[in-house]
Amino acid sequence: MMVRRLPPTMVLALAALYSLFPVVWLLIASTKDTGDLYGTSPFAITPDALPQFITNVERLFARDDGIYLRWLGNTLLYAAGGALGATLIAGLAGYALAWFPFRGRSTVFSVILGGVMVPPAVLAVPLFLMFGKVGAANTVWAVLLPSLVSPMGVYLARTFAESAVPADLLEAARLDGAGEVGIFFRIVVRLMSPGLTTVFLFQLVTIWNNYLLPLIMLKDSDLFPVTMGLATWQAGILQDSSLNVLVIIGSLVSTVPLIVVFASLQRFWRADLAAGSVK
Amino acid sequence: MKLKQVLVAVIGGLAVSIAGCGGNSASTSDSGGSPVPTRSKAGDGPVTLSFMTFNAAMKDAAALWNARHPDVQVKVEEVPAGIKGGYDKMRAAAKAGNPPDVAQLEYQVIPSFLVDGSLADISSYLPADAADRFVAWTWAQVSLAGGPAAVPLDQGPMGLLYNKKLLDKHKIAVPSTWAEFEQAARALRKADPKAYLTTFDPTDATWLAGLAWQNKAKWFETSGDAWKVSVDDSATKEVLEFWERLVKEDLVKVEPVYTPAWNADLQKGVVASWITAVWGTGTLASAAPGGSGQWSVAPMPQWRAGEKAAGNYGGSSAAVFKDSKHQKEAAEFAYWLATGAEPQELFIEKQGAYPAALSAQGLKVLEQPSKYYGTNFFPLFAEAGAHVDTTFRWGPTMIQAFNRIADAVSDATNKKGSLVAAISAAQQQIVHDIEAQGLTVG
Amino acid sequence: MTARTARYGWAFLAPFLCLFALFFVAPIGYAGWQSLHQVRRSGLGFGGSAEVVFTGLDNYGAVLQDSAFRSALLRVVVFALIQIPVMLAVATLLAVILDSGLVWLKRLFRITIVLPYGVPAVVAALMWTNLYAPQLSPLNDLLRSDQPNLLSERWIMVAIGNVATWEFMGYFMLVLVTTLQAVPRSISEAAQVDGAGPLRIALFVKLPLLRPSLIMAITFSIIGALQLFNEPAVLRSASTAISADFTPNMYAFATTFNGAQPYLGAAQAVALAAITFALSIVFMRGTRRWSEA
Repeated sequence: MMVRRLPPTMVLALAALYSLFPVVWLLIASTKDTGDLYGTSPFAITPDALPQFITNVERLFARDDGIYLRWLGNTLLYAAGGALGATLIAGLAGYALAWFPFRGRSTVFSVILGGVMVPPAVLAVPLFLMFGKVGAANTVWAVLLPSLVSPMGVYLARTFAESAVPADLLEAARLDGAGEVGIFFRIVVRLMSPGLTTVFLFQLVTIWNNYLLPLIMLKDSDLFPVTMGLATWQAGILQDSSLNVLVIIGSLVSTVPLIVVFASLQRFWRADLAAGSVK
Repeated sequence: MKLKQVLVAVIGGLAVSIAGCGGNSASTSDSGGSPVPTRSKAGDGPVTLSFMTFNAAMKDAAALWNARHPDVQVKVEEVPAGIKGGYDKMRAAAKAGNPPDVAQLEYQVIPSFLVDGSLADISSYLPADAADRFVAWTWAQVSLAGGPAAVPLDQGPMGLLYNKKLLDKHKIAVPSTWAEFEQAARALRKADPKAYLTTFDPTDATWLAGLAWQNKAKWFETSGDAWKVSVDDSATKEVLEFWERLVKEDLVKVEPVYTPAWNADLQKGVVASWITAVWGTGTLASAAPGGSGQWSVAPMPQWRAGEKAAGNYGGSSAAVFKDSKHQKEAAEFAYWLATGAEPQELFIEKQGAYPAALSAQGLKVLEQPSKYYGTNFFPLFAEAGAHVDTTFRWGPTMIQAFNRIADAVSDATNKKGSLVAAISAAQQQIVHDIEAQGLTVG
Repeated sequence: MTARTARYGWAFLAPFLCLFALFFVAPIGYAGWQSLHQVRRSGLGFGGSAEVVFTGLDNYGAVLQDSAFRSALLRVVVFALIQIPVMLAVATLLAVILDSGLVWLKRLFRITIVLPYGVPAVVAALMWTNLYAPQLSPLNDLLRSDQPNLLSERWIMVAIGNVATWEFMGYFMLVLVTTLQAVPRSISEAAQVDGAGPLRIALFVKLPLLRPSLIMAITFSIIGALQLFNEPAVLRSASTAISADFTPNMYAFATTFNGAQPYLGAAQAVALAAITFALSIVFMRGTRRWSEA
């Protein structure tokens, strides 16, 4: 029995190593200062790794009156706030497309699917001009509002709604006299939670990674997400080489919130919630 | 259950952040395309200028200004370097009618901003003899459309930074002509198969331009209402033929500079020199901190023995935007950045920048010897600066033109093909690009 | 029932559709309008006086005749044909293993394999340019040689493919595992009772059930591959082998921003979107009988 577990576990372990390997590089690189960075071998750990790491972290948060912390906060706002809103909206839409037959449903779905194909670069400048006209460029909303729209999220939500919600359950709830809104929030969301979590995660990462929109919209470095902040620092290395270390340690620290999010969302990927609810 | 808690936390966080952001954005000057000027008259309260730049030292310079000018405060907005989106941002902002007041523009992109129509004519805000206070060719670069639209900040006369320790070890003399350079390259390869005399970076079109500039190439000219493009003129071809030979015979290392890999090569003695501008002294010192005392500076190798020609690589200006509500104050700030002793000393010391303003060229700080290079290198670059061809001009679509050149030359370099053919292909594309802008190419 | 259904259907769709119209359809409409126009300037062009002229489908003609655009398109199509099967084969294998319950430390593996998905492009660029450059790479260090230089023209497509696979393998594994876990245990239990071992269950029970999700995954991978931008863009500063117009999406970006030709750039972007749409529809229609499980 135990032996059967070994080969599959080894395969997963290999995949995990492959995934972690660059992150390990980053971890080790953030324990070095500028001189050691390219002077020593990439995976070599220097004797003063730990104190240097702490120094680097201190420098990171001290730079420019703690602008990095502000950037992290902004990213959290844009990504988590945006993803939460987007998931709710996409979940509603996906559920509607899956379980509410109405005329024009497939056309609407095709149009939404078309939205997935649009390269973000096409949207950035027109959006900027639009927000500029109402004086809302260079604000939090300029990045947050467009992030609430996730055509991909709707597609995913529809797929998960179709497979996770049993038709007889809906029938039963409706016969019991439950309101549609109530059905959605009390029953469907629970059933779809693994799917909705995937949508949330997808949109979180999409927003987190979206470089072009914040670049064009935002002027104040106070409003930057951490990706833009790091990119600005990286471009400034030519003139200020101390930024080299900050970019590396900043990159490392920026992955931490995501790890935390991933870990805490693990519990939503349990699909046995649906068991036993159909009589 | 958990979902609810998460929701509450995020919404709470959102509320707090928005309250915070709301307070913040009220204190910045512009927050959207508002067409009505809010602070336009003197005596109406302090003026706030927004200054977009990718130079980290500008913050310190602005702080110096702010301390002395309580009525005109400068707020620095850091943007990524030009090629990484900084200029895109400035142009998009200008298109939306909401540009910064001042921006740091390298000379090669000024024509593009002029074609956008986004820069102001600041001649009325500067001293009457301002033109005479700057190195002639830099003034020409900022005055393409009549009056100046920007104030030249610095220039990039080129020279040769070389690893003296390495060359001495292999008894290779510092080359003074390109023919000697080729010989030195061969000698080094023979002496140490792992080392190369220098890097050839085909992705850096501005650098390629500098090399062609030294040989008196004339890439862009205007004739009446038409542009003339000759990126593949004979001077440029001569330069590229030379480098093509070096690449084909594996005498130079082909890789992009300003990368960690290149830093490692400098540190480990794999690359023994760098043909670069004066500000490159700072870059190299940061790239190879352990090399202090090993590197030295020499003039750029010449095409004909005894000449002193030099190319220019980089250099920037402080430009004022037409839609700025405070053009006068912006121009004064730009002029101060370029000619003020304090800001110029800052740039010279921190970055090895060489001023375009004639008055700043007499600053004492330019006489300090450099610990890294064992000597004061500024006189050498000043001399080079005096021999930069003053008639070189940039075209109206430089960023795109640089892409065309870099892509063509890189592709040919990778395939060890003809760089001369590549530049001719790029020439065709650039002409086509300019015509696609609705302009005439003569 | 039908009227009520329709009302609620639209009501639930409304929030999304409003935002979609505002932030997607409107900008795309604008880009579409742009793609039908060109700009004419006079003289040297200084001063910004420009006339915007309606030119119909001229821009699209230029795009389709542009050999650089066609090369870029071919490049991403070939990329898709190789990278997608590799990535999804691995993702499927990992998903089936993870779902089979035959492993220890399931949660740990799930997090670590999905982690790359959350790494922003800026950070991934930093990591991979340091891991690929022969001077710095542990691989080259191990082989004690400058070859293979993964940033050279020869290997750059492999390098980009590797980064893309590294980034998305875990995400697709997650999507597939989610689908597998929604399958009632009763089905695999029944197969076990019938005497099937885990391998047979995987091949003949689970894989077929994964078909709809796989079709969806392939469709989205096709879209992602055709619109490839981030991975080559971030490697560009470290390699001499990536041009500004390496992929169609990069080309559209360069045209719009670097080339200050938003009208032509809009046409390139719209053309790319249309081609992507067409190829995806063809794929989905072609596999329709498999996607309806």
